[in-house]
Amino acid sequence: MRLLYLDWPHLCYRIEAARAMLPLRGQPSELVVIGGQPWEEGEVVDCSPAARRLGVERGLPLGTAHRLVPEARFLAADLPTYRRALEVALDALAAFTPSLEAEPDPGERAFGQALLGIEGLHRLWGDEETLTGRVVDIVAKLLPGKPRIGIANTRFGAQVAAVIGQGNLERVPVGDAAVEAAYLAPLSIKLLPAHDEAGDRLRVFGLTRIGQFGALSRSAVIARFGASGGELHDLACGLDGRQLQPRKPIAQLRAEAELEPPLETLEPLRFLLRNMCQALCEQLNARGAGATRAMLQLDVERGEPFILEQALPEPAAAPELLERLLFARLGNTRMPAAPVTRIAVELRGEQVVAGQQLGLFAPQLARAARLDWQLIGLALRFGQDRLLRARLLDPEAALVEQRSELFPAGADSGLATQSVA
Amino acid sequence: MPTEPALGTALARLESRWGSAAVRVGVGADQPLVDGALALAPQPAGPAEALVALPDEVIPTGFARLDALLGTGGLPRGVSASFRGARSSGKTTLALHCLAQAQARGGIVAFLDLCRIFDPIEAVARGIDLRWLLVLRPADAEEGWALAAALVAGRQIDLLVIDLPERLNARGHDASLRRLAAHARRSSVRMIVIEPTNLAAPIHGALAESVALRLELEPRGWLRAGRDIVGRYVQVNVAKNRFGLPGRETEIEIRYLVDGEHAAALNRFATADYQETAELQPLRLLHTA
Repeated sequence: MRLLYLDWPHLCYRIEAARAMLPLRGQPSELVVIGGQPWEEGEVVDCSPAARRLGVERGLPLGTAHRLVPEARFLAADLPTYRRALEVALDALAAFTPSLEAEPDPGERAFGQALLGIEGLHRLWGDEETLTGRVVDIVAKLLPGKPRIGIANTRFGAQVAAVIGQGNLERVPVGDAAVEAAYLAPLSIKLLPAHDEAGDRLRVFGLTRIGQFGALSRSAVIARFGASGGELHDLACGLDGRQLQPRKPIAQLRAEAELEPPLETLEPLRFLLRNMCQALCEQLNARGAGATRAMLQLDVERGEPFILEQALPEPAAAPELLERLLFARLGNTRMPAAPVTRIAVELRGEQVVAGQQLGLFAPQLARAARLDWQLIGLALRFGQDRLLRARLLDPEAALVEQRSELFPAGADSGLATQSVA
Repeated sequence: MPTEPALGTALARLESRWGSAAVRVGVGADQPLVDGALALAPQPAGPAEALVALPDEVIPTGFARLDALLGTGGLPRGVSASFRGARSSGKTTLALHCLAQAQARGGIVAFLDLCRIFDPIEAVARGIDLRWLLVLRPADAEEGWALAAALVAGRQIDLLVIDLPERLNARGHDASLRRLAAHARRSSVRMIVIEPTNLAAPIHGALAESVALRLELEPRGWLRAGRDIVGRYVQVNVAKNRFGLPGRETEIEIRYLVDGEHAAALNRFATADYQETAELQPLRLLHTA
C-alpha cells in the first residue's frame, strides 16, 4: 500500500509565529516555549526549533524548561486554535481520500502529522508527484510553513522518506519489503524509533546503519533487546505491520440564529431553543444517534459570549429534554446584564443509541445513567455542591485534607462545567 | 376480632411504641391471648417468627449475631431503622457496614451528612465502594430533608443513611422525619438514622414511631489483643422490631481499624479488585432499541 506522509514539525509554534507580531516571525533563533508561564503548573506543549536544540521538548515541566532557556518567551497554549487549524487542513485533505490518519489533539506527540493512503488514486488525481503537488498547494493556504513529505510502502518508510527529503518530496520505490529494506539499509540507525537505552546499546555494538541491524538474526535481536527489539528489526527489514487507521471526523451539530432586535429576557429564548434542539435532534435521530454533550452560546451586546455546557449521562436525542435542561441551567445561572444578540446550540459527542454497554461485574452500572439524570435535576434544584462523591487522593498523606476529597457528583458523570469564553 | 375501644387504643399505642410484632392475639385455646414482648412467659422464637411475612430482599448488618436476632436476617426493603447510642458506641460503624453490604448486593447508597463528619477513608476501610456512594451535604437540615426526599423519590438508591447532629433543634424536624420515612417506605428505599442519645424529645419521638427497627447501642468493655485495645464490645438492644420480637439483646464486637488493616483495606480498594472491575466494565451489551 502506498502511503503519503505529511509532517509539520513544531506546528503549534508555527501557528503562534504566524499570528504573532513580526519579530517572532522568520527568526529561526527565536526562543519560544508554548504551554504557559514558568511559574504555572503545566507542561511544554511545543517550542521553537532553537529552544528544541537547547533541550526543551514536549511534555517537559514549564519550570524545567525555564531553567534550560531562561531567556525564552513563554506563551500560553491556545489548544482550541491549534486544533481548529489542523482540523481545517485535515478536512481539505479528506477531499482527496477518506484514508486519512491524523491526530488532532495538540497535546499528543503525533499532532501535526498526517498519513494518506494513496493507493489507486492516480486515476483521480494523477501520478504521485501530481497528487503531492495538489495536496501541498491546498494545505499551504491553511497551515503555516512547508510540510515534510514522504511516500513509501509502509508507515515507517514514509516517515523516513519525509525526513530524508528535507522539505522536498522523497519517494521509496514501489515494491515489497525487500525494496523498502534496500532503501532503508544505507540510512543512519538513529532513524529507528528506539528508546535511548536501546539506541546506546546499538551504538556500543557498532551498528551505525539500518541495514547492519536488519542483517542480524531476528531471534538474536529479540534475545538481546526483547520484544521491542523485534519490532525495530521488523522496521529495519521493511516490515511495518501497523495499518492506517482512518480518522473519524468529529460530528458537531450546530444551529445558530441572529436575534434582531436583541432579546432582553430569557422567555423568548426558550422558543428559539426548542426549535433549534428540534432541528438538531431530527438529524441525530435520522442517524440513530444521540449526543453526549450540549453547548449553548449566547452572544451579548456588551461583553464576552456566554457559554454553557451540559454533559449528558447517556446519548440523547430528545429535543424536549435538551431544551428543558439547557433552559433550566440558564435560569440558574447569573447572566450578563446585556441584551442577547445571537444564540447558538451545538450537540457534540455523537454516539449510537441502539446499543449500550453495561458492566458485567458492577450491577450498579445498569442504574448509573438514570441516577446521573436524577443528579442533574437535583443539582439544578439544590446546587451542584450539595450532592457529592468521594474519592481517595493519598491515604498516607500527613494532612487529613490531602487524603481524600469530596467533589460534585456530576463532575465526572454527568453534570457540566460552565465557562465564559 | 371484636375489641373494646379502650383496648384497641392501648394496643395501637403499644404497637406504635414497640412494633406490630410486640402484641399478638391468639387464635386457639392452647395459645395465650397476648404474647410477644408483653407475654408473661416468653414464647419460643421459631414459631412466633414464622408468622411474620418476610420480605424477599434483605441487607445484612454485617454482624451475624445481630442478623440472627432481627428475625429477618437484616434490613428488609423499604424499612427504616434507627441506631441509637452515645458517642463512640459504634452506630456509625454499624451503618457503614450496612452501606457496604448494600453495595455488595448491587445497590447504590447515599449518606446524608448533616454532621459533616463523613470520612471517605473510614468508609473505604469498612468496605464501601466510593463509586456507588453519594454524600449529601445540605446547607441546613431543612434542605437536607428536601434533598433526601427528592433523592429517595427517584428510586435509584437502595439505602439512605442519615447522620443526625446532636444539637438539632426540634422545630419542624420531627414532621420532616416522619414524611421522609413515609417516602422511603413508599419508594422501597431502606433508611437508617444514626441517632445521638441527647436528641430533642419530639425528634426522638418521631423517630421511635416512624422506624420499623430501632437498635440501642451501648459500649460494654474494651476488646483487647494482649495489651492493646483493638475494639469495643457493644451491647445491642433491639428496642423496636416490626419483623421480630423486640427486647432481645446481643453483644457485637466493633473492631478499630489498626494501621495494618487500614492499609490493607485501602490497598485492596486501590489496586487489584477495584481496577480489574473497572477495566472489565464494557463487556455486556444491552440492546435498548
